[in-house]
Amino acid sequence: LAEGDGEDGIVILRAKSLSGLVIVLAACHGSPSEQARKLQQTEKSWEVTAQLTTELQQRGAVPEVYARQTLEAANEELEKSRKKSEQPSR
Amino acid sequence: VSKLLEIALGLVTGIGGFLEAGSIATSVQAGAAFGFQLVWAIALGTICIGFLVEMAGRLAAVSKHTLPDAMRERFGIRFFSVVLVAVVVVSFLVLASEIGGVALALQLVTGIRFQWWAPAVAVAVWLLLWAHNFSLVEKGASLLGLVTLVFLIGAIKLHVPIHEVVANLLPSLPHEEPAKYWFMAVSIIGASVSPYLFYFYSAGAVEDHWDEDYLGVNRAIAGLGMSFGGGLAIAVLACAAMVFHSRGIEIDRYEQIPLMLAEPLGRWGFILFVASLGIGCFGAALELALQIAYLMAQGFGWKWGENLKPREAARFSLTYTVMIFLAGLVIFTGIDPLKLTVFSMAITALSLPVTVVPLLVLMNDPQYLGENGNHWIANAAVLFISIVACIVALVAIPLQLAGGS
Repeated sequence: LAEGDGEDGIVILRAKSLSGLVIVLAACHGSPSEQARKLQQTEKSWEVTAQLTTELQQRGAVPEVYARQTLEAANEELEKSRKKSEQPSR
Repeated sequence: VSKLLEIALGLVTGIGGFLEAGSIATSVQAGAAFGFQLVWAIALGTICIGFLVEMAGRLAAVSKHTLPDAMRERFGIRFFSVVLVAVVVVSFLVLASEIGGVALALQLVTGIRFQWWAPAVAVAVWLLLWAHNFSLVEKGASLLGLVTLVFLIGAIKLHVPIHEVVANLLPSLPHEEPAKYWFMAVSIIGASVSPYLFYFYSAGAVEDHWDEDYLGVNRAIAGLGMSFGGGLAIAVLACAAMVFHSRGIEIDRYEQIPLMLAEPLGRWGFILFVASLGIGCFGAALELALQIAYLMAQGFGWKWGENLKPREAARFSLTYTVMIFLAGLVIFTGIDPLKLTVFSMAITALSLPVTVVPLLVLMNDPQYLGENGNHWIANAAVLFISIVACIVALVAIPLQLAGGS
């Protein structure tokens, strides 16, 4: 509260806490290793999605038309993710 | 007997009308990414909407004012315009999300891309409002919306660990991805506390000529209806946690979501998921389109009413017509409906202080409520949840956008 008295001080303190929170969260969010981990996670997620869809299709739990869409979506997303991981990190 | 019937109808509306694009998308994404950890956000959102719906109904029953009408009278047109813009923008985004939800349900069963369905869905929503008695449509949509109980059946079949659900009713800090965690938390709160729910409810109460005898009915509908609805949203999150989180699947697209019910319930699970998404979103689209028209009409003193013929309330009808077709156009551009939905919910959370604080002021004004004003617990709970959700949204939305999600 050193920067101001009373309400001004409280406002400054709140603004500082908020910007501190943004900085902490941003640091966790944007590092190259974090981005690489996220890409891996996305790839794994879509591989398992495709696996589960195929399994359910074979059990007759989902219709053909739906399974086709989901497998296409999985291929698209895997392709996107692989392209991203091939890009050199800045 | 008639009051018991009204409570029963209110409960059906609460249960059948609670799940829509926002609550399904946010609960599924949260369950897939964080398991049961975000159950508390649904609980918090449900408490908040329970209080708000009860307040909106009480205001209508005691003062005979709808919310916009009372706001314009109490705060003047300048301040009311700010609230109007905030609620219309948020509701429009949510309307587009709901039309996207119906279009996606149709895509899932036909394989035809959702954007081609968007104009047809918009026309269907508009036609029902233009040509039919809305009371019938609303009750029909809510009754059909009971199909969403399938999520509860799915949760039972998946043997969801109840102790984990209960343990996560208390908020906890994220183990990883804090930005995503908080973004999901505010999106869930935004989905639960959509202003259209309580604005629409107050208009319905005025149209049904509620008076102080209805305060008990109002409390029962708000408390029980919203609790059951919140319970359903928790069931959605639990199914997603059991099917997706346990396998490491994260939800990036709507196409993945039906798997959560197809896995435990087979082909019927798939069919009932698509029906839940389609019916839930269609019912919400009807309510949202009407709510935007109500807001404008009640705020500016135009003639309004859900059962009036279009020529009897021309500006009211023109408003919902324009909104529905613009929202359909947004989806027709091919914008990702899942991202639009989750983003709209976060924006809703951001706007909460603007949409909620004026209601709190009204609810504490003896001129409107007499002796039926708010208890301090209701004031404190709603104010706390709204302000915290807004602050977290202020931090989480830019971070999530910067992360490209």
